[in-house]
Amino acid sequence: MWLNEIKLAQRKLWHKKGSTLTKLFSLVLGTVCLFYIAIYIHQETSFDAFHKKMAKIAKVNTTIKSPTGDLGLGLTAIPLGPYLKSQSPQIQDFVRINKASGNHVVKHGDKVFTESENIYYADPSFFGLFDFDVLMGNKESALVGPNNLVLTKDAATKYFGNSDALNKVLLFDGEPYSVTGIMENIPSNSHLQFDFLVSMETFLNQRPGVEQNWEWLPMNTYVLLNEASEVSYVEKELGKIPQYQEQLDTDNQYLLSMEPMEGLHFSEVKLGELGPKAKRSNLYILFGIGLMILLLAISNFINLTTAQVSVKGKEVSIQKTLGAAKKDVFRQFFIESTLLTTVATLMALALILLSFPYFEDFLGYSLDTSFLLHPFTLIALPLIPILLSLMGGIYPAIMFARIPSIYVPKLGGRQNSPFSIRNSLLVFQFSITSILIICSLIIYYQLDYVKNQDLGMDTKQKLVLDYGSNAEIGNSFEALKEILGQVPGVESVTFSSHVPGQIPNGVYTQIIDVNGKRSSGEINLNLVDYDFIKDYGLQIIAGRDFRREDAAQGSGLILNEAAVQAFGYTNPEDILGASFEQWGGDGRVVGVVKDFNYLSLHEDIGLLSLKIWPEQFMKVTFELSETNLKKTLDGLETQWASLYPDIPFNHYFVDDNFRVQYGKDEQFSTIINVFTVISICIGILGLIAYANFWCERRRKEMSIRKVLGANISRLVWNLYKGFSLPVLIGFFLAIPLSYYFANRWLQGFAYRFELNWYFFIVPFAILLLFVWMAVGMQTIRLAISNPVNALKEE
Amino acid sequence: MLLQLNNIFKWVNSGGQRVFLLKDINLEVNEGEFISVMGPSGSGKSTLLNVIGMLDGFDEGEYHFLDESVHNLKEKHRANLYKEYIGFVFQSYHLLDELTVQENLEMPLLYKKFRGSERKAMVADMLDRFNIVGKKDLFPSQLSGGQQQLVGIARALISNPKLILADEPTGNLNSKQGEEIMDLFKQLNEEGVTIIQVTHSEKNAEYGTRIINLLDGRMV
Repeated sequence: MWLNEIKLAQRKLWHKKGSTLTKLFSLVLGTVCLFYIAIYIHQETSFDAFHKKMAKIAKVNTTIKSPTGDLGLGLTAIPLGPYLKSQSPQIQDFVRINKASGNHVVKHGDKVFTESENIYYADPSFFGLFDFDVLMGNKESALVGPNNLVLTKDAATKYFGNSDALNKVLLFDGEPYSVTGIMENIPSNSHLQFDFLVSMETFLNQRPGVEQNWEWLPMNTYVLLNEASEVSYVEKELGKIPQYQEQLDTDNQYLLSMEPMEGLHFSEVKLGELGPKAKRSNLYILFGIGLMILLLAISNFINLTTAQVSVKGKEVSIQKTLGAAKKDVFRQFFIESTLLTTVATLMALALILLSFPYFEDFLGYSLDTSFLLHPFTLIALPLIPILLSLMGGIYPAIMFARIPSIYVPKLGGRQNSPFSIRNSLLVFQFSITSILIICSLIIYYQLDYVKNQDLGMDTKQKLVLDYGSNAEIGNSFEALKEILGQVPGVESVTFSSHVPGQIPNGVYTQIIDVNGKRSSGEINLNLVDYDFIKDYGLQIIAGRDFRREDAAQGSGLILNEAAVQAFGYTNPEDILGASFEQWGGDGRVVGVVKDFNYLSLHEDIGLLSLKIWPEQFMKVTFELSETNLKKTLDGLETQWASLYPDIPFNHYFVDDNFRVQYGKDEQFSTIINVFTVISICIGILGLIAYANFWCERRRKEMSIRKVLGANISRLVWNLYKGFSLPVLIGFFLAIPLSYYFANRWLQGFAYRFELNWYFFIVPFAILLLFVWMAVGMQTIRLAISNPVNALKEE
Repeated sequence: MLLQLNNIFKWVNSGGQRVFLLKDINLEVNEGEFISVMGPSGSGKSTLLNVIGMLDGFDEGEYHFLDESVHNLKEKHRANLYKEYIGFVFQSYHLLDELTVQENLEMPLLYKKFRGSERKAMVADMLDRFNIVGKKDLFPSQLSGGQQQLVGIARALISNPKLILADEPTGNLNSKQGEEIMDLFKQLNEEGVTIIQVTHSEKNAEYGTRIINLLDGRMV
């Protein structure tokens, strides 16, 4: 019995190759997309979830309130952690983490590499709070004592190969550190991402006297609360710190707040925070797309199956006459659906296995796939085809089972109410496809808009050499500029502490404000040489550039417009000559530059000051001529190696560096675009296949019309009319929804374009064109066919 | 007595008016009869056949089939009844395109819960009896009209019905094929199968033992 039905189902499916392929294609792609979307969402929502104490861990943030605005930092002062633990019984433990800035040369034997961004300093309690696996060494004591460090497995292999790294010595910027532990590599869904974990004592020993400094904020401080405690209880404690209470009346107030570790990955970006952040709204968008793709695939399935009622109705009637009961018919169609969905699931699985490495490659990290081997998944996997058949197969199967044994073929025209189930599905399909087209167009346009925004500076062909902090190089910058400028292909050379695309340090600055009062606040400080403004094409709108003949190097300050406005000046000329006090020297404001986007365009332009201070330089920017880039690069590298053989030639282009800021956006946009294209394909394919059946059903009607004298254009128009109505309805349903979603997404950008009517009309035209093309092929074929052929069958 | 129709009425309401499809039909059919139903188009021949075959209901009257009162039966019982005792033959054969000859023959048995080996034997028997063993693996589209109708009749007979209902079984065939089919019916009737056929052709009607004429839903 079952075998018979499976055989019959298989033949039927084979017989209708077109619609079977469409159903298969949409189901396979739908399942694959859904899988990837699910795994991506799982990745993002499972951030840090592997820490068992996560629910009791919170992070302390500092907000600095000053007349120039509030500055939210994910950092705290060094003494805060120990202070909280000693004061509050609610707090069981704390760990402070500092991410080492700049480049560090790490060496073992002949293996020398420059490491940056992957070195953390942490308290010994690190492994007590966080559940990272320590493979070798003692968890409790590994980070006790100075100059000790824990390596990840990968880092250990990098420096020590296959030999045991434990208790070996690693030269860290020339200093011997001993390896006290080897830990498992950090999972990609951890917000703490590092390869070297150096003991906090090392950090403190290198900086004597900082242990009681409440104004320097270098630490990411995490606290572990007691079992019975809550973030809200402990937050009260934060307002009682005497060092900060003293300052409540001054211009700079330090306000502390606590943020649970759960949800940290999605919270607002704060300065100095560790790890990548994600936007929850993006996940919602992705989830929405996944859902839509699934719904599209299923509605294709239902549409194409029920469309066959007119074709298969007769068959069902025969079977019933021969004794088939409702349940027999129902079962037969259900088996047909299940067979199809099973094949689709198997194909989807194969496709996933084949494409998974590419997906990981694209994301740039390996995904946590452990949940795939979870027993639940293994049990649930075979349920997918059954679930899909339930969703897509039940309605058609019931419909078929209801066909009476005396089959009365209906003329197609009758079922054309736009509110019948099948037409509602069609409307729904059009809606979704429209929403996807509109939204993807807007996302694409916005990201393009951001990319091509005028940054207010010239970043073309700018190569940055990052030599790290080195006073010796900084102090001889004039001579170096001379030497490096002579390398063929180098057009200009300028030194600075930061280059655009990086956030300079915020420093406490006092300036006489517009009312003549001393006013103060945090301003980002970029230390530059005399040619920086000229080379980066910044525009001076008041005052003058730095001059070599100025008496004292650090006494002149150039601000950007935003900073000028923050101190209350509306006319930039007025601030010229105002005296300032700032870290590294006092003096007077000498110039104002037009605002330029030295950060990403997600953010508004921050306050910025520029000052000459050679000792603090860390980078050289070369402007290169466009021809012979390779040769110029080689020339520079050779020249640099002859000057400073010990300092690696770390280089990158400013443009690339800037682009990194949009990396996540671009990745997101690519993901959305890929999935959108797929879902549009599914939608359009479904429409084509549906148009096929639809024309089939109206064949007789059209033939009669033709025999009665209707001409071809009239027939085609007649068919188009019926198909265009659902498009229109679907589209008008899509407009408000996509407007709402797009608008919300755009709110996340400081620089965004205004939504325009053509963002809605163009997708509509595209969709209508597709539909017309799809239906057109069928209708024309139908319209020019010999009507006798259709009429003599009966 | 195989079946008995007493004062059967069937109507539809159209534009506020009652249009009668069958009007006061009284009919008694005994086992072994071969009845031809004749009449012009729209006279209710097919409707009568559908009522007798229990595919269609009626609005008034009584219908007794063997010892059962069909008018009192629930649909499920009715279906069981016709499944067991009635075979249908159609003008346009109504074979399933996706099934081979052999599988088409087997299909009615599937709905009667025969075991696989039994089904095989019955199908082989039928193929043999109709001389179509060589065609068992062909699909309907590969057969001529006469051959298709042969398969149609074989399918109707396979579950050993007491009654065969044939709605213009030769309507789509040429005269030679038609003759062969009618000879077959006659032979079946002689073997004891009761047959009711609907036909337009006087010549085919002659094969039967009794002729019923219908006009506007009424027996004349």
